[in-house]
Formats: sequence, structure tokens, C-alpha cells
Amino acid sequence: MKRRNVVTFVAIAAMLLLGAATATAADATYHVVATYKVGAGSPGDIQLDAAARRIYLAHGDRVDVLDADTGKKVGEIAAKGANDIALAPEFEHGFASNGGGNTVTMFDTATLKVLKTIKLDGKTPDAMVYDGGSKRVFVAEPGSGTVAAIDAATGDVIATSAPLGGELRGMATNGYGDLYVAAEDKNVVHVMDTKTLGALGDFPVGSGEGPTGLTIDAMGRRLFVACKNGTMPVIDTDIGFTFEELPMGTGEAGDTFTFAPQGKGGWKGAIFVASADGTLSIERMLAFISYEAGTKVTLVKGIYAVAYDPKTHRVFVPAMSGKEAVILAVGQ
Amino acid sequence: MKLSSMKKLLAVAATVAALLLSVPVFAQMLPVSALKGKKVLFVTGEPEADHPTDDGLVKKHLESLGFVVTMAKETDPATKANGMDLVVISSTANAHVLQATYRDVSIPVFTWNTYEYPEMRMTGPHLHTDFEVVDPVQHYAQSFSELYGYIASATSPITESLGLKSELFGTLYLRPATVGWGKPAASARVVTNFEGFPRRAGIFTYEKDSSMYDDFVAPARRVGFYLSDDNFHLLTAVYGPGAKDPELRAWYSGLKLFDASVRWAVSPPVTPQAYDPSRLHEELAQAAKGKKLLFVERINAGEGKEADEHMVAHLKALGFDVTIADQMDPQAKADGMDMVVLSATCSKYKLANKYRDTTVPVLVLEGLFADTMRMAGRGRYVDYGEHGEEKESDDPPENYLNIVGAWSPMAAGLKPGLVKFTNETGTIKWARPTPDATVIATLPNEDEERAIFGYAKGATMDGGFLAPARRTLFPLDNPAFDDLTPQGVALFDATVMWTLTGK
Repeated sequence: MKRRNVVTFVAIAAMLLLGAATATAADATYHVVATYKVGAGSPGDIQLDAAARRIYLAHGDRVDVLDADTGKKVGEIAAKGANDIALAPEFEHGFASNGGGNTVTMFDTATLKVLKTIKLDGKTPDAMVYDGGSKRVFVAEPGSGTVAAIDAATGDVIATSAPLGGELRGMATNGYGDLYVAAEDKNVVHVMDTKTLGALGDFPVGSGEGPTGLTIDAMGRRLFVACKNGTMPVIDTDIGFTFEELPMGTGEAGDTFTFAPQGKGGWKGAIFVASADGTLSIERMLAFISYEAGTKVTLVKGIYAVAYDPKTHRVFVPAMSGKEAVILAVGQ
Repeated sequence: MKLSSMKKLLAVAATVAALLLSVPVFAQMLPVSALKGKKVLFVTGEPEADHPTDDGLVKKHLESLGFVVTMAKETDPATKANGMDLVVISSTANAHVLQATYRDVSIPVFTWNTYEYPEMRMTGPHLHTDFEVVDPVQHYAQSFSELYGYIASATSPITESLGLKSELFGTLYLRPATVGWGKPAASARVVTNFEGFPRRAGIFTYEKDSSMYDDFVAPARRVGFYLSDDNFHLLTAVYGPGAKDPELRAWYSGLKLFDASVRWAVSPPVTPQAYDPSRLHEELAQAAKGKKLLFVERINAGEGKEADEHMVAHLKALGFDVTIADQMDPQAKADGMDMVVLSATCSKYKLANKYRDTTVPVLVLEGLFADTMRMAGRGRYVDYGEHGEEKESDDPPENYLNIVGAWSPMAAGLKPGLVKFTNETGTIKWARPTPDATVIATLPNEDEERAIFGYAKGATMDGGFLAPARRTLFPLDNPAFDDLTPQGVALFDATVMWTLTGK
């Protein structure tokens, strides 16, 4: 995955019916509960199919597939230069972006067989996101500054956007028409139409610098932006307004992460953010207009991807242990 | 070209040139590009570990506008402002320490330090009455109400520059936060207000030379803003797809209002011309020449008939082409006119609501017409009233006015303070206009009783009624024209001039 191996972040829901004080105590208990070894080579993005209990890890020339509960490797998919992964569960399709080859590998999540190698018009495909609303997989192409849309059912490239400007990084969608793309060197988030791939405008990121990772709370209409300067702007997506800035670890942050609300009405939760400086930062959601920084857990330098397991409430964080890649299972 | 034609052309050119040279130099809002290099003194309190502030963000923002920012402590002397173009006072500066340090500086001051308003003479001294700090801890529900501001003045340079109209807008992002409001003096322009109270001002401005609280004359422009210590970052704005919707752009205008207010503060002030009745008379004569004026009176009135005749003669002498109309004539009489004067000899009851909707500028000489003309509310002795009316007024007859808007050309160059208006005491009417009016004079010792004021075209008058053209009130009871002092005549001429030309 080029200079950024691992994708960071995950939002994990936390403590709802408890209170903030209880939550603080709970945060402090997070620690590494298991380590899954996956072999040599830097890891890339990680995705979890919670229902199937499978972890997908972009890992150099392949995608490793592990049992989420045991860490045992159950298979692999050839995907040279795999950067990022997107899963479309309703089609049982997975996609891995291959930066070097300007292609996307489409695979069957049931059989783990490659279905198709999708040739892109853009260059250096990197971050990907599946949008359930449009049934499309969107691929950021930083080399050409474009975004490609792939039909998640057929694997056909539907369209490639006009160049957006800036180095395109993490993406997120709201599920009802908007695609958000972080532009690291522009300090903005581009907003695009998922149907037309037309540019709809930009969101500034407050005092954040170097936005690289995005995740969204589509119900609360909140976009969380991981920035390299250790700031996480929380943006109201209705108006593109940064109303909160939370501290987080510094350095490279992930291309994707997951917001996983829990609790009454699916509102309250906690966001776990992994940063390249080795910090797993816990950001707590108290209400949809109120967030606060929680505990920081020190892991391993170079981390920046996470996947959240709603069954065990653990966070999976790819990391390097010596020369070997591992997945750290972090929980309470 | 024939010689006669040439002479006519030259005469026209000379008239135009004279007019251009003679009108006061109205300040324009400086373009953003002109802010580059302007020096700002930013007065803040000492940072406290457990008390977050947005002072750093404000400094950064001012610098992004082009300002060169120098920081100052609340204990620094006023001389620290020497050479600056603008003083900005944060609410983090302790007003009890700061006191009146910058009250007298002849440099514009922009502040969101609500407790500093009294020290600056921008409001009276009483908390809860003259100014208020709405804190969500103590006023939780009210702090939500303050998320909704109202553009009280659509004709202020600040709102005009943003194309905002009189309507609600979002002040701060959707979370309760501390805000401040002030109740400024009559001469202030209330740009925005809260909760339906006209003078519960969120943003208000004083032009240089206007009379602030206790008749303290503003040494330079002054601006009050509704912010508090740590909510600059919550000033509303819209980005992305929403920014294409004009309704959303208008709603989320908190940050734009901040920027425009700063820009107004640092722009050159209006420079009034010195008091010179003969020059004013000449200028008015040039402007009035050939202009059609409808003078509406009660024909064959008893008291006031003679004064009306003299007023008409005065207007004719200025060059107006005067047409007399009776109070019972239809409003259509105003069609094609350049200006209408409603004499105090008219019966309010008989005049009805006529001339309220005319798109011709109207000068109203009778304060009782304020409600029918929508220039004020409908409460007698609350929204309009009089001094010296036998059986109808508790207040004694009066013959002085207090000039509070000396900066305006309607003030005829008179200095702030009391001016002898008529030779003898008599009836003087007043009204209480909306915040979108420019107030020139009040009754003495009665800040709320405004005697001379004007609405620009499009201004929001009572009940949201938009002024179809300029509207002015000049309190000239039936026989009073004949009793005007020279200063009173100058005020009359200046008001006629503004009503006719807006200058």
C-alpha cells in the first residue's frame, strides 16, 4: 500500500446506558487481548465481515482471510499491490484496490475466488468504500485525482469522475447520495454526487491539517475526519460545518474507519482512532452535538487501520511486530 | 454645438460637480483586499488552563483577513493602541481590570466583551437591563433562544454588504453557548437583535460622532458583537452543497456578520460637513430645482394655515414645483411626484392610511402619523407621543432637541448635544422607530423619544413593513415652522434634502 500501509481507525460504540464517568473507567480497560500473526510484509487495510466472522487484510500481493474469533488463517486472495478493501455483503463480493496495476480485484467472499480484475481509467487506486444506497464501490485514484464508480453486482466500471484536485485519501458515503473524499494536501473534504460523480463542493476541516481518514455516522449526519496534525474535526454534513475538534494521535491516519453506534436509538457511541504515532485514541459520543476525548491507549508505531467487531466489541488493528505483520485484537 | 447649448451643458456639469463636492463623504465598506497590513490591537485576558478560549482562533482568523495583530493584556495602557487601525477587545479581558482604558481612543473599537459595554459607554451600566450575558448554565432555555438572531437592520452597511434581509438567522452552531446583548443608545444602529426585543442588540454599531450612553460622543466607530470567550468557532457558516442554497447562505451568516462588522469598524467613518446653513440652503436649492413636491395639508385649516403657507413658500423658494393637496385627496396625487410632505394640519383620522404605500419619499411632520405610516408601533405614549400637548401629554412643552446622530447629513452639521429648535416652547411630537431607522435627534433627557429620524428605502419598519421609499419624521406642529430657530430651519432643510436625495 505505497507509503501508507495500514489503514487506521474504527469507531466503536461504547457506553450508552452507562454515563460518561462509567465510560471513562471503561475506556481505561482497553488493552491488547490477542495477537494474530499474518506473516512478513507490511499490512494494509483491514475489513471485518462480522456475520461471517472473517477478517480481510490487504497484505502486499494478496488479501489474507482470517477467522475473526481465533485468528486462524482460512484463505487468501491474490491481489498484487493490495491497498484497500471494500465488502459488499449483499452481493457476497469483495474488492481490493491494487495501486501498482491500476486495477481492482473483485472476489467472491463465499469461495474467496477471484471473479474479475477490473481495469481502471484512473491511476493508483487506493481508498475504497461500498455505498449501500447506490450499490456502488467507489475507488479513490490519487494518481489522477479522480474517483471511479464500480457496480458492486457486476464489477463494471460505471464512471470515472473529472479530476477533483488534491491528493485523495479516505472516503465515506451517507447512503443517500453524497460521497465524501478527503483531500490531504488541500485540507478539505470533497463532496460528490454518488449518482453522477459530479463535484458538489468542499467542506473545510477547521484547524485540522492533512485529512486522511473519514468515517461517518449517517444517522447523526456527522463526518469524522482524521487529520495528521492530531486533530479530528467533527463535521455536520448538512452544512459542512466543523462544530467540534477532538484531539487524537498524530501522524498518518487511516483511509477508512467505521462508526458503530450503540445504545438507545443507535445514537451514543465511542470512536476509536489509530494513528501512526502508535496511539489508539478513544473519542466518546455523549450526544449528537456533544463529543469528548477519552482515553489514549499506546500500541505500536505505524498503525493506522482498524476494524470493529460488534459481536465482541473488540477492535482489530493491523501492526508490525518486528518484521512480521500482526493483527492486534484490542478489547476490555 | 451652439454656444447656448454649450452654456447649458456647462451649467449642468457645474451643478453636478457642485453637488458631488458638497455632499458629505460617505464611508464605503473597505474591500477585504484593503485590510491587508491594517494593524489590530487584540486585547485579551490571561489564558487559564481550565477555561478554554477562542482568542487564538480569532487572532488567526484576523490574520487570515490580512490584519497584522498585536496582542495586549487588560492591564496595558491605552497608549498601546497608538498607531493601530482597530482595537479588538475579547470577552476574556476582565472588564473590571480593563475599565475605561479604550473608551476615549479615537480608533475604532470592536468588542464582544459585554461587561465592557458600560465602560465604553456603549450601553448603560445595569446588568439585565442595559446589557446581559446569557449563560447556558444559568439560562439554559434562553441560551437556545439566542441561537436565533434577527436581522433588525437590512439597510446597515454591514447587512447590505452581505445582501441580508430582515429575517431570522442562526447566530451560533446548534449547541447552547454564552452570548451577550446590549441595549444601546438611540443613535446606535441595531444590526441584529434577540427574542423579538428591538433593542436587545446582538450586533450594534455607533458611527463616529454619534452620542452613546450618557451622551458620550463616540470618538471613533464602535461595534458590539454577541460572542463570548469560547464560541467564535461556532459562528455559523455553510459549506459544500448547502452553500449553493441562498436561503441557507443567509441563515448561516454568523461568521460573515463578524467579518463584515470588523470591516465596517475599520473602514473610514462618515465625515459630516460643518454647520453652514447658507451652504446647506444652496445645496438643497440645487437639488430641489424643478423637483415636484406634493404638500398635503388640511386646506383652510385653522391653526397652522399660516405656517403651512410659509413652509410652502420656503419650499418654492428652494426651487420645488409645489402642488397642494387636501388631506381628503387620494394618494394617487403623489404619482409622478419626487417627494411628499404631510403637514401636521392634516387630521390623522381623515388622512387614514394614505401615503403609507407610495413609492415616493415622504416627509412626515406629524408624529401621530407614525403608526399609520408604519414608522412606529401603535401604542400611544409608548410607540409615539408628544410633549406639551394640552390635555394629552404629561410632559411639559419643549423647544430643545438633543442631537444624537451628528454624523448624519440630516443633522445639518450641528454638534452633538442640545440645540434650540424653536424660539418658544411648544408641542413636539416623537415616535420610537424600529432599529432600522437612523435617529438624528431625541427629546432632551428622553433617549427613547426620537424626534427626527429617517428610514432608507427598503428599511424594515414596524411589523416588518418594508419602506417603499425614504420616510422621515420631522416634528413640526401646526404653527411651529414660523417659530423655528436658524438651527431648526437648518435641520428642516437637511431633512428635506435627505428625504429627497438620501444625502
